[in-house]
Amino acid sequence: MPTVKVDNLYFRYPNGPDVFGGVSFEVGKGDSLVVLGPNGSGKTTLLKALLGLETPYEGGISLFDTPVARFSDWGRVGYLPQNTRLLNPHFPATALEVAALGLLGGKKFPRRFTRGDMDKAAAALDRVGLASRADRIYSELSGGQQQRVLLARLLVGEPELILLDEPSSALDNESRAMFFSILDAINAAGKTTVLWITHDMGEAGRHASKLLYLDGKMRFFGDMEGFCHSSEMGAVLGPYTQHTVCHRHDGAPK
Amino acid sequence: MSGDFAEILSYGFAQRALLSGALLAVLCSLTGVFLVLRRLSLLGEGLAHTSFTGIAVGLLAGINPVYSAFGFAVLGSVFVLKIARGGRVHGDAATGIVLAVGMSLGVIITRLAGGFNVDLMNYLFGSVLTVTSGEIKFAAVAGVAIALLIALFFRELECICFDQEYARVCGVNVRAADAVLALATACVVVLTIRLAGILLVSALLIIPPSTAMQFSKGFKGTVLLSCLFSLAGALGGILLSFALDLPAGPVVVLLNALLFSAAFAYRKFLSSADSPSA
Repeated sequence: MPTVKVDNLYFRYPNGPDVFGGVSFEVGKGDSLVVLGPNGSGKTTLLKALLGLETPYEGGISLFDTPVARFSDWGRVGYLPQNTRLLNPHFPATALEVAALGLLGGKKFPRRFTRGDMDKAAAALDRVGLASRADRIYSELSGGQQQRVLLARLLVGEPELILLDEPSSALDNESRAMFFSILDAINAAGKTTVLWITHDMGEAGRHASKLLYLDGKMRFFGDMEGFCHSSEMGAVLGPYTQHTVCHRHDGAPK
Repeated sequence: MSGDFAEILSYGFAQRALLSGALLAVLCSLTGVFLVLRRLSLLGEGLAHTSFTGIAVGLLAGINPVYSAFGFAVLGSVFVLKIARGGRVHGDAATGIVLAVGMSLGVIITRLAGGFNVDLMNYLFGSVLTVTSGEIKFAAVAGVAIALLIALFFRELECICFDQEYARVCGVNVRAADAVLALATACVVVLTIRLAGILLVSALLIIPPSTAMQFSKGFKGTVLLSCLFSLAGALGGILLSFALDLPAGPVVVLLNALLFSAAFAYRKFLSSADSPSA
């Protein structure tokens, strides 16, 4: 059973042209799929469609074998948004309270947090190196620390599917290394599917097992080896960019 | 002076005023925290003005104005949510439209009914000293229902106040949660009109949460502090109004504003003490 199945997806905003069309792919347990493409190619829209936040006009999306429109088991899905500017900048919650919100999707009405839930949130903050900041107000933390709190919010529910929209764009090098070491560890256990968007080609090559290139239509979907040997992608991206994704400086086999 | 004050407190009207003030202060702050954080601070103002139409209709038709005011406040909240969801109009603009229409309708109905009278002035500016035991019982029952509603949706409301998109990803029905908040606000506004009046009710929804937010105590801490500040403002304000022989509503609002100013100054002081240049 694929974790995510996308079948011939077409999307457009009201009164606008198609953002993308003809997108089909499947990812399963343990896959790490990176979505690449230029600005405006529909990467974030695709991610939001997977989350049921946007509705395509044609095609189907299934999460865990259930059409997304009928999917209700959101505790199995973790999401890290790209644009934290949409968050309330004056929200008075502590880092611990924000991290605990990651458990909301797995709760039934009326949703309550137990002491055990708060312990899980504290453990998630510890995992992202912010145990000492648990009682600090979220909005008073630095941008990088806020992003790590949101990562803790994502991790706390131990989701089986993780969706990330440019997750490292606000992080410094140290935080970025920590971020991907956590993500790689989760992914290496083989139980979690990760689907993420980035503009960092090197990052994509280092941490993804599959690649989807979106450019109004789906230009490529497959494993890294297929991407690295794709003459079409070489023509689209140019040999230097393709090399940036495929070449490893750490000596690891590609 | 103290003897006179003690004597005033022994009167039933003073005790009823303090009791209803305490009850409504807690309800206002509980609802107000979510309104302020959801950036719907002026919803209370809009619904208070809409309820003015309801009060005018009630006085004209000879029915209890609280019931007709509640009906119009709920109607106003439905319009605000509908207009704001329709696209291209933000919540503040939708509130402004409903506010202006509500007040205009109220003025026209009042004019057609023969002009303002004492009853209507009491609703405009509040008259907590004339609150009856029956009204307190009604407010207590409604208050328990509102508090229960907010408690049931507490985590949903918390999440949409912080990150609406993430709330949707968690399966939170944002429309339902917003409707709960609007309904609770409509109830609280109508109940509070007797304390502060139509013209001042929104201050009790906005000021105590804004005061509490100066203290970085977490979300639950902010809700609790908001209730405490609101309680202090209401009880202190009503007692001061007895002592100074001034109308209770405006004194309650001004005392809340004083508490906010002190909290704001405290916050500024802490910020400047923390900054490297200090």
